[in-house]
Amino acid sequence: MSRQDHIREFAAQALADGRVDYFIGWKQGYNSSEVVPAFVKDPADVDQLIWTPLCHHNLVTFIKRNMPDPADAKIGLCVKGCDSRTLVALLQEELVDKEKLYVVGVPCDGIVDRRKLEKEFADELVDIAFPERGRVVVTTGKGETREFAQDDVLLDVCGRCRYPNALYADDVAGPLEAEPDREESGPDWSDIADFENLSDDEKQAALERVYATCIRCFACVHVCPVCVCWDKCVNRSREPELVAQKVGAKENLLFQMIHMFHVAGRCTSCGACDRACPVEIPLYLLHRKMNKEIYDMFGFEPGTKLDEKPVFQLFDLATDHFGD
Amino acid sequence: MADQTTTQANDAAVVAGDTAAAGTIDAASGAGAAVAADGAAGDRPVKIVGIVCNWCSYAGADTAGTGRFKQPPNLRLIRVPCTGRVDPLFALKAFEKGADGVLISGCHPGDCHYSEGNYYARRKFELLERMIHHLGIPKERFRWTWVSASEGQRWQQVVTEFVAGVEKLGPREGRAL
Amino acid sequence: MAIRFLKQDQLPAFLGQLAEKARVVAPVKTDGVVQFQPWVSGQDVELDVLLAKQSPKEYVFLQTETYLKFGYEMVKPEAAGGDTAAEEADPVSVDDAAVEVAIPYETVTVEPQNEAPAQVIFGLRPCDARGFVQMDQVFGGYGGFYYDPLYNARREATTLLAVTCREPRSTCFCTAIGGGPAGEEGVDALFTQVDGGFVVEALTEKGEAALAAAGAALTDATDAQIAAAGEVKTAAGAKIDVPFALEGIRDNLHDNIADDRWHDQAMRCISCGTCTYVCPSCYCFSINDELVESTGERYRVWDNCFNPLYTEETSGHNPRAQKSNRFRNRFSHKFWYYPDKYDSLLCSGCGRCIMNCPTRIDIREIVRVMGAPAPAVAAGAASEAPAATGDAPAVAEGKEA
Repeated sequence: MSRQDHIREFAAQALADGRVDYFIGWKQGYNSSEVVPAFVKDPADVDQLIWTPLCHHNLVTFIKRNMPDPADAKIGLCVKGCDSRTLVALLQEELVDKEKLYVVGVPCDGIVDRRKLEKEFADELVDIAFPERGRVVVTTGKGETREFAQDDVLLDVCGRCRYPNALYADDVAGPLEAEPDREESGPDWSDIADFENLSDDEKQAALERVYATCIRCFACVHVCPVCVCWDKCVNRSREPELVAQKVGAKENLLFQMIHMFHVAGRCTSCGACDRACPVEIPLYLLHRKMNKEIYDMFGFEPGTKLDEKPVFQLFDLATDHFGD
Repeated sequence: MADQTTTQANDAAVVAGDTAAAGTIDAASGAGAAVAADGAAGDRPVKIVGIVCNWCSYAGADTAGTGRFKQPPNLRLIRVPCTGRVDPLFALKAFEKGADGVLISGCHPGDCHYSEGNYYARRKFELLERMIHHLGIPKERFRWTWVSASEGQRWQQVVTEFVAGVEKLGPREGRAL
Repeated sequence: MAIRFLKQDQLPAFLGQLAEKARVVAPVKTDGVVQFQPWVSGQDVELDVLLAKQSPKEYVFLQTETYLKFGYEMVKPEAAGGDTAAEEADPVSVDDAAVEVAIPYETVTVEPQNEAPAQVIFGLRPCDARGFVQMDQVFGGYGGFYYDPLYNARREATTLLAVTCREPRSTCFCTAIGGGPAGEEGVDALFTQVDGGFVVEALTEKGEAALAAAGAALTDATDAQIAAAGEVKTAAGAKIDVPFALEGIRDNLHDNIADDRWHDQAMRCISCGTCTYVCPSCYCFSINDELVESTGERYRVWDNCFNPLYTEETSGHNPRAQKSNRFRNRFSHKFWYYPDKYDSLLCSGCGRCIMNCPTRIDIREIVRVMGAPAPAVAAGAASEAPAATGDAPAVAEGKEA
């Protein structure tokens, strides 16, 4: 039984039992190269749910504050390993109610970065198929077909994944994926080394260039599963006016810094912001850098243990020696 | 918790808004902004924003003043109830609005008027300090420390050192943030 | 106006000549992302990727447009009548006799901003050009009653040189709403790619003037070339699907305003503003005054109906507090309110909102579903239990916040 069948079965059961009002999974988008979040209310509709390496959306986004509709809905949802960390982060701070959730963990062996594939072609992609594990076959609008190895076109976050299996789930869709030995080796931060090694001036120039393209659509904030202020976001507040609504490199950068610091200790570098950005700003770079520092300071990986509290809501007299 | 975050953010705005309204940043050098626009800014005095807690460092600065300890005039203070109330974005906002340096200071660990505000605060400041030069702002432009109400001399020393460090780098020009 | 021909290798020369007289804006690829950018000599114009991420509307309807700058100024009475140069305020004079005339007073200076440099936008698609026409009605519509001087100054100084879409995408639906891959609405000159170059037709005087200004790079088109261009246009038009029929959409959207299906459709919306900011015709904005110390500016900045603050009233009440209310607004505006006012649609069918939406919400599907009469079953159920999900129209909507 494939993972997809498991998901459908769990969804149908939970809906039939009345355990959930709706179930969130993934389904095909406007063509077979796109996957979108699916909201299933009727057990008869579970056949639209799919599981492929294109299911990149972090569905935890749809249970955060003001997203459930109706507001007190009981919700079932699928989480990958990375998604489950953001769910755990929300649970740690009691930002969602465990009792209203039914969570299906989906063991994951890596999500394909559709944008990497898009950049290989001038034409649009109309079909992405996975004939077997590890193979990705892409077809364009004009009928050009090319094959890629899945490992070559994975999301950057997936290449360093330490949590392929959900850390919090009521049911698991099929056998678990092999876990890396987390005791033996810490997180791999090699992807941000290039940025870290730039000089201050170079960093400034790089940030300015990259963030100048931001259009302030706030997709990064809204799609972020752990960014929960919603209509009270300080970046948008006009009373008082803290962040200028002007669109310019300086203002955009401040807005992104605020987003970053406000999710410190909660951000798991899931990369949802990165993938949602319509102008493809590599947002997750600085978030990764921040998480590296947090790991350095506290040995803390956000959203990994249900009984932990985020590090910025705690202090520890025995081990905190900052500023001494 | 969500509501708490919200309130915090809004309060943050009030304080940083005050920063601008009180003219704390630009006023330090008279017509700082205008000078910068002329491109002949190399000579203007650096503008430094100090964010200090009401109970220790603000009083410490007062002690330094009462004791007539000579200090560089580049620093403008913003008083907050406690360092625990300082959001890292206060510092970033000050940089965005044109500050050349930001100094944060509060009660020594163990001396917090509210018992534990600075225990939370130092974790945040440490993260900000580690991140700041990755945001394109040289490390020397940001400092956080502890100064108690009686440490007028220490205040003088901290300010003098910090201002000298920032002066060495000069005013920030062509900055991203 | 004669039909001309531009050889492929003459394109840089053509743009170079245009650039001598005006700013040239063209789609350029940076870090793999195609965006309209001010073109500089030597840059490759990216026409293979059909649509730039954003429409070129930001060059006419700036994302941030400063209306005016203002500031407080201390004026000494003697100086007030004469020159307006800023003078340092003196401390109040201690000379009693002079007090009445010498007290400096504060005044406000206002500096209107209005810059509209001549510009040519090259490489936009007919749908992008149509977006400008739709925005024109808002900023200059009703016979000038709402005439917006800043927008119109820019619009008048802008020439649109559009390129026919040879290979439409599966997300294109311009033909469904009255446009086409070679649509001429709003286009000043149309470039159609054929073998070896472009067949160029000036459609307006502005277009003709631009072509004349860069005439050296152009030759007269041969009959064969003109015929080839005609074929390209027809072939492209045939490739575009018509996902919905326009008849009845306006009325049906009106009838469906309180329909529960809006909630289902909005489920996967994250309430960001991507669709509106990439859209060639979304024109909503807000106006901000921002003051730092004693100088500030009033500027207009893009806003969008998905922003929770967009409809928030001074009282704190928000008539569109829920995501589904805001979601409904975008489509109703495009296919109902705007058509009611201006008798045209506020959508040009470019499909950018579909392909850039973080969750790929498909406007075609929304219009197809919500622009159709409500199914009888749903209608029956709704009338039996009107308050099932709290979505009674307007008045009740704010409750949930």
